Amino acid sequence: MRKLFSAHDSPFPSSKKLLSFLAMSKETATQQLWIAQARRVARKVNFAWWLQGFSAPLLLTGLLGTVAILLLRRHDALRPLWHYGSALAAVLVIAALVTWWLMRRHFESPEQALVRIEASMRLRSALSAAQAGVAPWPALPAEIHAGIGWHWQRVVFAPLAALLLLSASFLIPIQKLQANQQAPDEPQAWASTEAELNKLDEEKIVDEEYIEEVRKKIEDLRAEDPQDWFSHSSLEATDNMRKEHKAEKQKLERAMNQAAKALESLQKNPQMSEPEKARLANEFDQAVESMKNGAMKPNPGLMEKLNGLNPEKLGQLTPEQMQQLKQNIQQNAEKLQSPSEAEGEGEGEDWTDELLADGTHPGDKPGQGNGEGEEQEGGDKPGNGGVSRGPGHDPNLLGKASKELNTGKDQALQSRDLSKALPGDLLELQDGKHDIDTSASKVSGGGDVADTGKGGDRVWKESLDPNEQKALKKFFD
Amino acid sequence: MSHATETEVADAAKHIRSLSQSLNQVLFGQEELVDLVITGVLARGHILLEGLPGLGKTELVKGLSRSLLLDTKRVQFTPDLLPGDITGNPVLQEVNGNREFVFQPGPLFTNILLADEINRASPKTQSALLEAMQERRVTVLGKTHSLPAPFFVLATQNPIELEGTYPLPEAQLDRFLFKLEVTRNNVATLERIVSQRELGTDLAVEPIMSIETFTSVLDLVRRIYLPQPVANYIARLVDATHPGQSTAARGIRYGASPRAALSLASAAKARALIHERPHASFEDVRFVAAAVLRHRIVVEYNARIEGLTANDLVRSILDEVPFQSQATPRTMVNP
Repeated sequence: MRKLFSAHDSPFPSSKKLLSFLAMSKETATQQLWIAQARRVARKVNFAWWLQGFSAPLLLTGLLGTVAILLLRRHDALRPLWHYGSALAAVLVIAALVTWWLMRRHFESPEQALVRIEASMRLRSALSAAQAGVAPWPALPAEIHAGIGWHWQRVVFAPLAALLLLSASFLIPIQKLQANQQAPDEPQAWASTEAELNKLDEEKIVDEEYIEEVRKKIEDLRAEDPQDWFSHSSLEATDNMRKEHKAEKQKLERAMNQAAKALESLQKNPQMSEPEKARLANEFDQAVESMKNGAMKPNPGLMEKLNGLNPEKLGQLTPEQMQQLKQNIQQNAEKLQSPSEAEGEGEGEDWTDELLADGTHPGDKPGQGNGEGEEQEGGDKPGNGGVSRGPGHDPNLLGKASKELNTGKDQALQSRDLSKALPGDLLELQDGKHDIDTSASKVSGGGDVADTGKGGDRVWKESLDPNEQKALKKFFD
Repeated sequence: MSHATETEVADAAKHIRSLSQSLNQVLFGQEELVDLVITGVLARGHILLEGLPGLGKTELVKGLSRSLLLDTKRVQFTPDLLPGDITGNPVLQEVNGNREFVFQPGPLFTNILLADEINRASPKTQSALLEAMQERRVTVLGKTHSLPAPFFVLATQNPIELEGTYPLPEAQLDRFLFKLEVTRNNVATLERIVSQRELGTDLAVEPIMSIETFTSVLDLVRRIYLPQPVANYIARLVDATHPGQSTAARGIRYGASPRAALSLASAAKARALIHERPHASFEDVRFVAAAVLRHRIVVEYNARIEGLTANDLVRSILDEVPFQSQATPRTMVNP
């Protein structure tokens, strides 16, 4: 701004200078007003840019916050509301700053806002020219507009959607996770097999190597995802393992019994012929070989004794030695039998075996478990459900036919032409009586009308077959 | 170069207003055409007038030359017109006892050349105008001769009777600042013409300004301030005429050249002076855009089949390109 007074001037400014100064002041004031308006427009436009950029992070934050709150609610780990508010505010502040940083390349300067104003108000580039000092600043009109307004739908969409999402995360009903739901029970067969192995291990009946091997198999199965414990493959592997274990046990038991039986025969009849002795020695040898070759071997002590014996010189053992050896083998064989098998109450085994069992099985056992399983035929207690529970089934589905169906007698048909015969051709025979109407009858004169044909008499007497007549009579009686 | 001041602009505008009034007395009911012709002349541009015969194209040019006290020559272009017929020919003459070729200037050596029915001349003759229009000089037998200043070509062409015509090549079209379409008059204008004119009589047109004044006005046009946003608008407009640069440009095969951008700027400045402003504006550019661009873009065949013309496409581009270069955020609307 030019100086109004100078050293050489008179103390009072001339009227021309005064007018010039006043005009300049007015011009400067107009310029300031226009620039202030331009700044305001620029701020508005820049805020609109920031809002546009902030919509996506706001929606994303709302979505992630909703998921987080739902997860926390599901795990029953809800915290005070101000915790969420603080976390949300922190995320939003960071997102706002990042948005500002990203969107600032779109931001307008006040000079650019001036162009927007002059374009909108049809000022014919007067503001740009004034800014360049080519023309005076135009007078400020009563209303200044930049030709832009808020698109409210787009402005409020993201905040509203985020708010609704967050509100919904608190209001949506959700089932909380419980701790016991996370760890399902393991198949019972593993525990039972482990119990058997522990017992065999404690009583030192079989070789430890076998026990460790089976335990490792169980651990391998257990190491699978708990959700897969009852999968088809897992259950099949469990069944195979149990069958193998049972077969090995029975094989060892049979071999021991065979060896004990051979020893007992030798002990009872020392005067038998040489060929007979040789046969018994051979039986004993085969039993020992079977014990050696099986996966389940006797305990190392017994195995060492048996290995030390020469079957051909078995007859040279003293009766006491033979008695001791026989008792030792018999004790081991008895221990191999599970208590339930020994007492005739063996646990339910493979369900198909049970299903087909005829009730005369030595085990005669009820289903074992904890549920509502049906009592197995031959057992005297109701089934208790569980994994290995007794199967519930129709008595006529498989196995023996029920005796109480009042069906006829089946008789096999003999066919003279075998080429036309089918296996299982049966003829059902049934005892029965003639269906005679035993209701009282009366004497009627000749020419009398026995039936006056009232109502439906004719229908039920002439149209219905005997069975239908019988049913009707029974109903009305 | 200093920018034009408001006082200078006001003085020049007085003369231009007088010129405009004078030409509007020559050509009734064509105010916009007169405005554009004056704009084109002030921008030192050549003008191609297209219209049916008898609409007053030649009268307008005559009136302009008389108003400005400029030398005018008229050439009726025909198919047998040779380049030498317009540029001039060397003639064997005796000079100081020696016989030598002396250049005899053709009708091109004038201030305003009225090239009537320019599209009837052969391409060879049309191309003789190229150097004259762009460089404002002609070269005959290796010798260059400058044309008098100012020099304008105001050409006319007839949109009908195209048989036996030679369409102007793109290079020559690009040298015309404006292509103006002279439309028919309405009943009121016709009535005015019938009442105030006689067939076969010349109009008495008062001279408006001397050639010196006119030259100073032309210089003033160059000193009109072109704001940077307006220059940016011109650049975006020209860019939008190229295929792929705008939606409207899908109907354009070739867009406008940088010469078109210069022409737009020059014409906008001239219009600003006419409207007594020391600076050009967006509105000035918008007003002259159709006249500057319509003959510089080549319309796609498909667009032609759809009935689109260059005027339609320029109008679409003007609607598509906003004044301000800054985009508006999606959270705002232009009410």
